[in-house]
Amino acid sequence: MLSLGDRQRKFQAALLAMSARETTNGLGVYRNNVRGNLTLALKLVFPATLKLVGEDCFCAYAEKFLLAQPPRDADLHRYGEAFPDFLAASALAGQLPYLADVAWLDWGVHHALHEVEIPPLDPQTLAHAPENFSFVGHPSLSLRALRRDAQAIWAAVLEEDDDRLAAILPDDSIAPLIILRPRGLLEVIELSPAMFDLALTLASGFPLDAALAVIGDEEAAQALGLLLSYGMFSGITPTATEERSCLSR
Amino acid sequence: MSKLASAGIGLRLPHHADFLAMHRSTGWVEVHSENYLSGPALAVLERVRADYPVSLHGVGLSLGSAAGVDDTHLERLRVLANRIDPFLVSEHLAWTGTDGAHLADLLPLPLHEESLEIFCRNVMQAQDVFKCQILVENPTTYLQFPESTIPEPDFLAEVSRRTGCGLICDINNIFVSAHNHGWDAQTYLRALPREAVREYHLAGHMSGKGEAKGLLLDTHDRAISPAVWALFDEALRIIGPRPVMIERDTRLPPLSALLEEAALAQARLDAQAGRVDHALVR
Repeated sequence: MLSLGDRQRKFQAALLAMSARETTNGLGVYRNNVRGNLTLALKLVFPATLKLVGEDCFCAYAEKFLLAQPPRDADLHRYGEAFPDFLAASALAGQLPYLADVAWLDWGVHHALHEVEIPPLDPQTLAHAPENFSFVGHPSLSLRALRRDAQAIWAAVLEEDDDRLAAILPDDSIAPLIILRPRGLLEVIELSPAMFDLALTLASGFPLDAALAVIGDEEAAQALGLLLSYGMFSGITPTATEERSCLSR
Repeated sequence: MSKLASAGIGLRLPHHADFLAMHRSTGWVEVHSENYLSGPALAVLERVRADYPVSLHGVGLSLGSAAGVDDTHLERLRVLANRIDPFLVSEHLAWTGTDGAHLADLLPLPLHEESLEIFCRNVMQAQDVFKCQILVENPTTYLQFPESTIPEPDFLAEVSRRTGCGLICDINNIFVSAHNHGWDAQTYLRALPREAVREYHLAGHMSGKGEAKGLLLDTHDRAISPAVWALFDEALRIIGPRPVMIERDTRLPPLSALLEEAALAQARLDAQAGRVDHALVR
């Protein structure tokens, strides 16, 4: 007799591997439920992406994605972070070079709206910070350097403004953005390239002094002050000396 | 009859605004816990909680998983329960994925001694964390496993006996599974431990097409069928009045349509309660 664990692995593999033609009666119902439920979850997370490519195209790519990268969490609000990069690596990216960035904007807004609400770091706290520390990125935070035309396309698609959409000129210059909701309000903020590098480094958990090395000294204090005022961090964490020296190298 | 042996509705996100604005009332509401863990929906649920008893009905805990439940997810559900103070907490006789995957569907469990032990262990872990009894709902299933040795209602009865959990008796699920597997629905009802049943679910279903031809599908997308109402009447006679919830998840009708179905269920509860009272007087 199959153990329960073996049965479940076999059943899951059948659900995720089957093509429509290979289904049998009951198994096919579960296959359709899984694909339908997960596709619906992705539609709710990616409204502009869905409108941009249309129902059939979206569903086809959503299905490829969910079979390759099914959710790892029962909270489906957390599912889809990898979908923008999946689209970037797909054949669609050749026709719609801004698509992955539009999808990232969908994700960033959804993520910010559904993350746990906690207050941002109070800059006064830094007066009592340990000698060596790194910042903790705010849980609602997403960062990406995207094509400049993507944000305009995203907004026009969501507002169903076809005239505005048609008037947008291709622009593949870089717009570094952060999306966050540190104080109950959604914020989409464009950063300078240097500030974006600092934000990315700090949000990745690098110690402050190592992160400041990526930006000129004169700009450093001002840039850090701005990021703190945006509410980009939710706390600080002490950094071990050995870790610092390793990262500094 | 408890004041909560009344009819309630499943509250879904598209009905939030109408529900908050409505002037009619319902006995209580049930929500899918996973849709209310954070964000704007949680804020709505906290407002709803001020006026109605709330039942938290999970769909992602995977109590049937051989690998055990996800501690992180269980902790999130505990935090939600602490915040909402539900009058019922429930889950399903099902699993939702293995090896770290979560497939967002209630998958069928082979029913034998090993799965019974695993399921009971997971239920007890959940009850330890919630610090309360949970209810387990009978699922709709579309296939049975050759290694299964325990009939589904007997399995549920044994889970309840070993863990002290309660049961949700989903009338539509019994009707659909009975059709799909050739079971007798009334025999199923009689096999459930009546004292453990603490809630009913009612929903709509449809006939399968194409590859699902011959099966009934638990679609939650239409009104409750006359045959399911009749089975509900039978359950009221066999098990007795309990809180009953009207479930609709897709092709949502106006909120008023759900409230009308809840009123129909309430009338049946009231009629049964009248019969019970009359019998006591005699």
